[in-house]
Amino acid sequence: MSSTLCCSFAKNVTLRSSDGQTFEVEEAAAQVSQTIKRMIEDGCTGSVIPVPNLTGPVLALVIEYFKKHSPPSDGCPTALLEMEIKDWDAKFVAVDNDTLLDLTLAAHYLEIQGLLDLTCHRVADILNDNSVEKIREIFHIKNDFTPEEEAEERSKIQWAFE
Amino acid sequence: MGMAAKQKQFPLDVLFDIFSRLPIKTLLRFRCVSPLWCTIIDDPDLASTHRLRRVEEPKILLLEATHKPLDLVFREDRSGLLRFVSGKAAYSLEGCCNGLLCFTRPFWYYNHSPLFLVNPQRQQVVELQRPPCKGAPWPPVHDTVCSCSYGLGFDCSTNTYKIVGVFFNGKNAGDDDDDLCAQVYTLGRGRSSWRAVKGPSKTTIRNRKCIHGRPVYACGALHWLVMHIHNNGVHLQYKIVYFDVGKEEFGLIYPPRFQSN
Repeated sequence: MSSTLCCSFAKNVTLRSSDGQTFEVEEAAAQVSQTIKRMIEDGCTGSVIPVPNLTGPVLALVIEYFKKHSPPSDGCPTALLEMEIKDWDAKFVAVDNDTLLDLTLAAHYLEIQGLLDLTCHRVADILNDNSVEKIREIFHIKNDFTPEEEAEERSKIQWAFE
Repeated sequence: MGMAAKQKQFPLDVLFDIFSRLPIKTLLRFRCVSPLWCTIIDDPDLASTHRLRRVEEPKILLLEATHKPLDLVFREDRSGLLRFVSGKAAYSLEGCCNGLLCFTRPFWYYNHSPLFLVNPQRQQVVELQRPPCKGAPWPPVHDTVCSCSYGLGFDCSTNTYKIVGVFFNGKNAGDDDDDLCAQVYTLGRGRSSWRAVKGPSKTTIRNRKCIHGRPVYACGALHWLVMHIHNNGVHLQYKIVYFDVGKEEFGLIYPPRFQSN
């Protein structure tokens, strides 16, 4: 009994970001990501797991999320714990726009549904309060509309700009 | 700098996820961001995901008739109450489904009057030709609803809206041997046209009948209350004719019998 406990406790995996930084994290926590979970199941545990789509700073943030959201060792999460996690989540995504978009893409790539819901919701809140011009800036979007086309689109739904 | 700044394009399904959480008015504004955003925002699948997320607070829509010859005007007041104003009795509501509305102009000559599809949340009106109907009376009869009725339904197997028109295709409106037939128009996926579908079998719907009120869309089917007047002219009976929007099949429901003295 004690040996199994000890064993599961000690089981870590190493993740490597696109810029070569490595992070050690508990296997159970890393499995919050469906992508990493599949890699572990496929037997990648022995070596380092590459996460080529994430830079070191973003991966470090994601690992913080893993640790907070790893399944509790003592079974059911309490209501108090859930509330605490909710508060933590809100603070976690209160970051600058570029970092928020990086986290959104990371959640998508690593298939972390909870983080994807959290970040998409936060992005939607930010978008809702901003102008078309500001949105292009946030998303680094080049405006492909000609001025005439854009004016026509705007005139069709003038009331939405009021 | 992270990857978002370097990345030229955000994955489409992530954009879709974010858009499904935004109010309609904001989405309409964002159609101007880029042609790609415009395409995603106009995707019918976004509309259905959006509806399931219940982002929009339910709004009350007032159908307001004025004496002035106004033509389909929307007004939204500060409390979010949306008013849909039309000239006095110029438009008659035929059916509604998921917040979409379908109107006709009851006092117009049938073949000249289109159907009006209205999306109050987008404040958009689309005109649609009615299906060809030989039996359309001229001059138009007052209770037009008796000879034709339109319903709007949603087919969740294909994520499309369908307009279903039912008609009594008799030689004259109200003929004893007239036949209930139906035409279906599928919206939203490219070009479409009216298609005739098999009406309910003659043995279940016979004798003089009359459609009462507007159809009700529920559980994937449109339901019409149909009154039967039997040959003796005295005996009345109500039945519910339903049309399964996905299967495009008619069926019949007998209401419970009530004892009356």
